[in-house]
Amino acid sequence: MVWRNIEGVALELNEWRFVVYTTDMYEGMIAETVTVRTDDGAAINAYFARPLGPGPHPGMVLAHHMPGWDEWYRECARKFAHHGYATISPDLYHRIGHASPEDVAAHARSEGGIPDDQAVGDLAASMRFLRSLPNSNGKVGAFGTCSGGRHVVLAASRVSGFDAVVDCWGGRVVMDDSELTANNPVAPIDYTSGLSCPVLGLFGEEDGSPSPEQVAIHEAALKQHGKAYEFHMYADAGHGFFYYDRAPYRQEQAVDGWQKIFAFLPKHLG
Amino acid sequence: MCTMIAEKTAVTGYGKGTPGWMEVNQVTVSYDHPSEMTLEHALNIDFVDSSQKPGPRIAVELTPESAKQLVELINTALGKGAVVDPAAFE
Repeated sequence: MVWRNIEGVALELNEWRFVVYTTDMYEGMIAETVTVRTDDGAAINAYFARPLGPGPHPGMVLAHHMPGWDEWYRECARKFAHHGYATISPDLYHRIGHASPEDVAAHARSEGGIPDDQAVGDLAASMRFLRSLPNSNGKVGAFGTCSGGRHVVLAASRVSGFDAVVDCWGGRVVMDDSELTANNPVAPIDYTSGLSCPVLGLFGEEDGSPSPEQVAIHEAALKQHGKAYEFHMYADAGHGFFYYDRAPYRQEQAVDGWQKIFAFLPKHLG
Repeated sequence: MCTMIAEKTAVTGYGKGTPGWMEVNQVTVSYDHPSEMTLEHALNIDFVDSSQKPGPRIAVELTPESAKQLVELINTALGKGAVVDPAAFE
């Protein structure tokens, strides 16, 4: 397959993902709700956004944050698709039932979140879904914010098949024994030896979970186990500094963070 | 941070939302991300009918200071109520 711009100039394979967009280029995507079959036999809803065209496309699995499978995550899926990634965002709260995202999230909160085993299974199933696509390039990464950051670190540490992970301020990767629950029986950091891919971590100095001290503990564990990682700690930023509709939004840090994400992923996803 | 700080208990009462009154039999009080308030964290109170999962809820998101005032008001009202209606507090 030879990709051409609107004037017929040929682009190298996948080069279209890295060139600076100009107004003469064709661009298109499709985004819709699909279902993903999980190992426990469930069919969970997922938002699937991908570029049009035969690819091959790398894939991205998005793990939504504690506030739920909401509009921000749909936008986020389309952002990754815009950058050339076949992107799937599974509804990790699917088994709770269906209502407005905030009502579902409130219920998840009242239950102490969702079981880690279930989240890992759903993210792994989503990863396999992307890799099964005929236009996959065989590489799949994962991205998550807040509890989603924790979930992608956990998934990439417990199952093989992820090629890169982006952890945005995932709290409770480092956990005291007092924080362990039936849903969260093991701290993700304790699975670090099993981490199977490089990690990009974006954090804020003013965040309380993960605090800079906890990020340092996580970094030390990655070093100890010889894992590839790239951590960035932003000044004047706390938790959720990408969320343009929330008070913690920090424009400069968010722009820089997105640039770091789209510099990191091509190195590992082709 | 997603604090996952959430305390839950059974209650008996009713709450009024837009459609009207609904039975509530469970309340969750959490200190975590609010949905509407533009704060990173708030004191969130969700009264629900636990037989509907997830379903309608009577939700309140308060600043920590407002939540403290609410606790004081509740205790004040309960104290006065105990004086006028001691049998209800036995």
